[in-house]
Amino acid sequence: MKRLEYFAPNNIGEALQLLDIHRDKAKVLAGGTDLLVQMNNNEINPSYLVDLKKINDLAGINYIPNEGLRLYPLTTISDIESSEFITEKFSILSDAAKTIGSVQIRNRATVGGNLCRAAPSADLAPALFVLEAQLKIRGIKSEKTVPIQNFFIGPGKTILKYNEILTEVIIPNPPSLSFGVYLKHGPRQAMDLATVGIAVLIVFAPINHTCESAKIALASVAPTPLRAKAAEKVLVGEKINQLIIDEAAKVASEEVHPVTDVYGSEWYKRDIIAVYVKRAIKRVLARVKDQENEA
Amino acid sequence: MKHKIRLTVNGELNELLVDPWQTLVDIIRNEMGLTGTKKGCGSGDCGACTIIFNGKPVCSCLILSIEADGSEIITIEGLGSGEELHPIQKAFIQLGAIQCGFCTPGMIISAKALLDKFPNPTEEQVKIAISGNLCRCSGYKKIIEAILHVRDLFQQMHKH
Amino acid sequence: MSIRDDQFSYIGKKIPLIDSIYKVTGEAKYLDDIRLPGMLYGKVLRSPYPHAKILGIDISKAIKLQGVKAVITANDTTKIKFCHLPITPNKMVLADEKVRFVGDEVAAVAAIDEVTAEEALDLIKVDYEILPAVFDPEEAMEPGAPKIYEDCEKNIASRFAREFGDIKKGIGGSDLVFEDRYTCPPVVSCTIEPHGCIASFDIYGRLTLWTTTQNPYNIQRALANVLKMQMHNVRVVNTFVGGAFGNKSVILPLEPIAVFLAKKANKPVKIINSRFEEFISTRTRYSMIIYLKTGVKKDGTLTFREAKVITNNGAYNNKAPGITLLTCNRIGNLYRVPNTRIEALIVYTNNQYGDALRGWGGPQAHFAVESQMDSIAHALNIDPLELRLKNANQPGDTTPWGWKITSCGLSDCLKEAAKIAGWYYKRNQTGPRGIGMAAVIHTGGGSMGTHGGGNFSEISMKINSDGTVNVITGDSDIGQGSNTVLAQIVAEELGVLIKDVKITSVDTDVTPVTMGTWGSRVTFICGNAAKKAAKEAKNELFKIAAKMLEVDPKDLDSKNGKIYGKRSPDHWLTISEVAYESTVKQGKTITSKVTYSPSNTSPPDLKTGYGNYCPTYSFGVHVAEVEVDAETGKVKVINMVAVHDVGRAINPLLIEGQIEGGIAMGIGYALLEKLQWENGKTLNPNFCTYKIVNSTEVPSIHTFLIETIDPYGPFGAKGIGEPATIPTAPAIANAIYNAIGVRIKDLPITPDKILKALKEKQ
Repeated sequence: MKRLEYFAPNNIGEALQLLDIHRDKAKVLAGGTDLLVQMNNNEINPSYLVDLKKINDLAGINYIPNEGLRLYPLTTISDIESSEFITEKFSILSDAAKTIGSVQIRNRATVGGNLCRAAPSADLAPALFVLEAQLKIRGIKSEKTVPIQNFFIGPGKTILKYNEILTEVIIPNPPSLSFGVYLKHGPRQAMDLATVGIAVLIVFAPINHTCESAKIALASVAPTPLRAKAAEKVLVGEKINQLIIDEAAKVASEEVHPVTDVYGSEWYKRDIIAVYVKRAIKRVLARVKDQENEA
Repeated sequence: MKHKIRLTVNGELNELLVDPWQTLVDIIRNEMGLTGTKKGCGSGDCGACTIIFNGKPVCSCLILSIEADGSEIITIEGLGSGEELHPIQKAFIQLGAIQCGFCTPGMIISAKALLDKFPNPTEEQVKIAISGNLCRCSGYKKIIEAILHVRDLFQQMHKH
Repeated sequence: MSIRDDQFSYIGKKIPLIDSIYKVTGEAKYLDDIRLPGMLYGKVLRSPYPHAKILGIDISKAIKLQGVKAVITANDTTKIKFCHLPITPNKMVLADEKVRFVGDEVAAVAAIDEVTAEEALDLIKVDYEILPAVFDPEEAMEPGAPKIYEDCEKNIASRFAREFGDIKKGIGGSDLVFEDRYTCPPVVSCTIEPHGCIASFDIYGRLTLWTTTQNPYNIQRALANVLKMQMHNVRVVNTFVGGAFGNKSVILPLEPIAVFLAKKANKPVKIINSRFEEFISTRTRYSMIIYLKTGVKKDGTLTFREAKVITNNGAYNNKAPGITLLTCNRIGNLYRVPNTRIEALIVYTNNQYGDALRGWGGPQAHFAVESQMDSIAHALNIDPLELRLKNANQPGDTTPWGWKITSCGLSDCLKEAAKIAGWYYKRNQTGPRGIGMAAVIHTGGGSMGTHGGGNFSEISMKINSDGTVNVITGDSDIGQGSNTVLAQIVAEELGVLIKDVKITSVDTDVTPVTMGTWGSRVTFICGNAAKKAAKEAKNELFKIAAKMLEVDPKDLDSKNGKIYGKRSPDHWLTISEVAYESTVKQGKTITSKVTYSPSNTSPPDLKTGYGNYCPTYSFGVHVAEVEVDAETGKVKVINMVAVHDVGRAINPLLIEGQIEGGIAMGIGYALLEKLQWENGKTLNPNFCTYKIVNSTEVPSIHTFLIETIDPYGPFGAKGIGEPATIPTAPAIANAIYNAIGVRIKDLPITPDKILKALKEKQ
C-alpha cells in the first residue's frame, strides 16, 4: 500500500469533478474488495481515492412494477442475496450473487465494483447480460445509457472514461414464462473465481412450450463476458430435447475463445462450457417443471 | 494529511488520527492495541482479520480506517474475557476446535455473526458461513461441530 | 476416601489445549502482535529474475528517503553462507554476485513504517545481467543446460545410492514387475501466520530475536554462525506460532536480514512476509520425480523395489539430502520388502528451494508406493486390502534397512479401516463413487543422525512451595498441543492436578537445548523426558511425605494432588503440604532435570545407511471414498476413514485434531495444490489462485485409534503429526481409480487430468 489522498464526496457531481481533476491518478472506491486487494499487492497505486459510499443517490434497490428493477451501484452482493424480492423475481441474479466470494466479501463487494472491475470472471455480468440490463453512466457534462453487452471492452476494461461513474443498473422485467439459472464451475464449492460462469434465460411459448427466446451468457471464457449467440439460435423455436441441448452445448463451446491460464487450459474450458450449457438448460427445464407441478 | 475518525469498538467510543492509506486491521491492531484480530493475507481470502462491522462480518484488511468513521465494530476482545467467555469461545475450547489459534478469532467472529443472523443454521450453512475463514491446522471438522453445538445450546435455551 | 477410581487421571482423556483461553480471547501474542519501542519495519527487495548476475546495486536514493533508517546489501553482511546441513551451505543472506530464483533476497530496508519501507524499495536500483535458466530437474541434468553453480556438474547438488538385500535375487524371483513414473508437485505450507521475526540489540551488542519458529535452538545456532556471534549473545524467543508444519524450523534469510538491519539502524527491526512473499520465497515441499519398479510373485508377495528418485532441489541447499533419503527409506520399508535398490539425484534448478513440510519425503514416497500397490493388486486380481495385509510390516520385524519394528498395528489398522469404511460393499458399487486405501509408515519419535544431529530432549521442573509445578522445555508447541500432552504426562506421573502444571515457552536463555519440534518426535522424546523428570521429582516428594506419614516411600502413591499410602489411602497429605514442608521448612526446593535420548537407536551407517535410527514407527491407514463427476473431472471426497496406531492415545481430542487437519492437507495435496511455475515465476502466489481446502471441501471423517502400547514410548505413546497426512493423497488416487478406472500418477489430480485420462481410455 502506498501513500494516497482520500475524498468522500457527498454527491455525484463532486465525485465527477474529483475524477476529472485527478484523471488516471484517481480511482473510485466502493466496496474495496477488488481495489484494496490490488493496492495491498502493489498492483495499482492510485494517488487519490474517491469513495462513493456517502453518495445516497448511488445506493438502494428500487422496483417499478411495470418497468423493472433499478439496482444502484453501491448495492452490496449480500443485499442482493438477502433480497427476497430479487430471489423471487430475478432469481438468476441472486443465484450469481450467492457464488461470489465469502460472506465477508459479499458484505462489502458491490454491484458497481463487480461490473466496473470488469474481471472476465465477474459473476454478475452473465446474469445481467441475459436479463438485458442497461447501465446508466454519468460524466461531467453527459449522461448515457448503454446496454450491458457494450460496457466491457477487455479484461479489466470498460467504456467508462476516467471522469465517468456508473450510476444505475436498469433491469427490465423478464418476460413471463421465462426461467433462468446461473451456474459457476470452480475447483471448490466456495471462494473461487469462476473457471466458467454461465447464465441461461429461456422464454417459453405459452401453449406448446417451445423456446421463444434464449439467452446464454458466459464469464471467464473470453476477455470479457459475452453472449453465446450461435448457441442461442440452436434453441430458438425448438421444443428443447436432449439432442437440441447437446447441439447448443457443442456450438457454445466452439464459438468462444477461452485461454489457458492458472484456472485451466483452453481445451478444458471448452469441455466445461459444453457441460455447463447442458446443465444450465436442464436446470431451467427443471424449474419449469417445478412451477408446473406447483400449479 | 491525517484524518480524524470516530468509531465505536467493543462498545467504547474511540477518536483517532489516521493516515488515509492505513487499513482498518492495522489501526485496530496498532493504534488500539487490539491484536486479537490477525493479518494473514491482505486480500480478503483467509478471514483471519474478520471483525463485525456495523453488524456484519467483514475482512478488515479490505477496509481503509478512514472508511470506518462513524462505524460500530466488534472484535474478538469484545466477546468475552477470562472471567466470562462467550458460549462460542467455550465450545471452541471444549470441543478441540483450536490448534495453533491464529485463525481462531476470525473464525469465532464469523460464527457469532452467523448465529446472530441465523440462530438455527444447517451444517451446510455453517460451512458456507466460514468458507472465507481458512484454517490449515484443524481440517474444520471440530470448528463446525463447535458451532453446531452452540446452535443446539441456543435452541435449547430458547425453548425454555 | 477412594482415590483410585480409574487407571489414569489424564492419560487417554480428551483434555482441551491448556493455552486455549489465550487463543479464543485474542490474548495469545504471535510475532506480529509484539511491538517494541522505536521499532522499525523491514522490507526485502527480491530478484524478479530466475537467474542473473548482479552487476551493481544503487541504494543512494533509498537511503536519502525521509524515514528510512537503514539500507543493506550483501556488503553489510558477513557473507557467510548457510543451509540446514552445514557441510553444503550456499545460500547467502543477501545475494552477492548472482541471483538464482525469482524471489531471491537482494537488498533490504528498515524504515519508520511499512509504507516508507516500500517506497524505499522502489528507489533501489539493481543492474542485472540476465542469464539462461533451467526449471525442470531432468532438463537441468542434460548436456548444455545452464549451469547454476560453476563447480557443479550437470547441476547435480548431490547423489546417493542405497542397496539392501540381494536385488538380483529379487528380480530373478519375480513373476511380474511393475514400472511407473510418479510426479509430486511443489506445495507451500500456507501457515495462516506468515513467517516473521523481530531483531533487537541491547547496548552491549547482545541480540534478542523473537521469531515464529518450531526450533529456536536451530535458529540460535544458525544465526550465531551467520552473524559470527557467540551463542550466549544470541537469544531466541519463541512466540505463539500460527502454524509451522516443518516449515519454520530453520532460518529463512529474513531472520539474519532483520538482524543486520537492526545492527545498522541501531533499533529493533520487525520483518513479516507478505502473503505474496510466503508463496514465492518460503521453501516448498520438495517436488520429486519417482521412477518406481516393484516385483511381485503371482500370489502378491513383494520381491523387490527399485527406485530412482529425482528431487528438484531448487536454487539453494537446504534439506534435500535428508528428505530424499527419507523418501528412499520409506520406499524400502513400507511393507516387507526383501530387496531394495535406490538411486537418488538431487538437482539444482532456478526455482524456489525446498524444505520440510509435514512428512518430510513421506508424502512423495507413499504416493508412489501406494498408487503402485493398488495397480499391482488390480493386475494380480487381488483385493488391494489383501495385498497389503499379505505384505504388512509386523511387530518384531527387522527390515533389510536395519529398522527394528517394535509396536506395529499396521495389520489391525488395515482391517479396522476396511471394516469402518464398508470396504467390501463399496469396492463393488457402480456409478461415480469409488473407494481406495493407503497406508503409512513413519517415525513415531524423530530420528537420529539423518538430519545432521541427535534426537534428544531435556525437561527440568520444579515444585513450588504451594505444590504447583513449573515445567521447562525446549520443544516448541506449534499448535499441535505438545505442551498440553506434556502437562498431562507430568500431572499423571506426579499425581498433581493438570491445572497446577505450567509449561514455560521456549527462550534459549533459560530453556534447555533440544532438537526442536519436527519428525513427530515431541510426544515420544520430550514426553519420555517429562515422565522421567516427573518420576524423579515424585520420588523426592515421597521421601519427604514418607517421613511425614511415617511410612516407607515405596508404599506411597499420588493422584489428584494428594499423596497417600497404598495400603491406607485414608492416610494422606496434599502435595502442597509436602512441597511446603520441603521448600520452606527444610529449605530444599524439589527439582528434577532429565535428558532423554532413545536407547534403541543409532545414526545410520555412513557408507551403507543401515541402522535403526527411529525409536519407534507409527502406522496408519486412510480409506477415501470419492465421487467423480466424469463430465467435469471434478472429484469430491465424500468420506475419509483414518485408523492410526498411536501406541497410546494420550489425548484423543488432540490426536483427532491432528488427523482431521492432516486429512485436509492431504486432500489439498491430492486434488488442489501446486505452485504453478512458468519460467521461474509463480503464477498463483495468493490464496485466490493457490487453492487450499476450505470448510466446504471437508468430507465426513471417521477416526479410529489403535493402541499397541509401544515399549519405549511414554505410557506407550508415539507420534501422529505427520502420519496424519501422508496416506491421504494416495488413498484418494486409489479411490479415483476404483470409481472411473483411470490412474493419475501426477499430483495434484486436477479435473483436466481426469478428463484427459477418460478420453484416452475411450
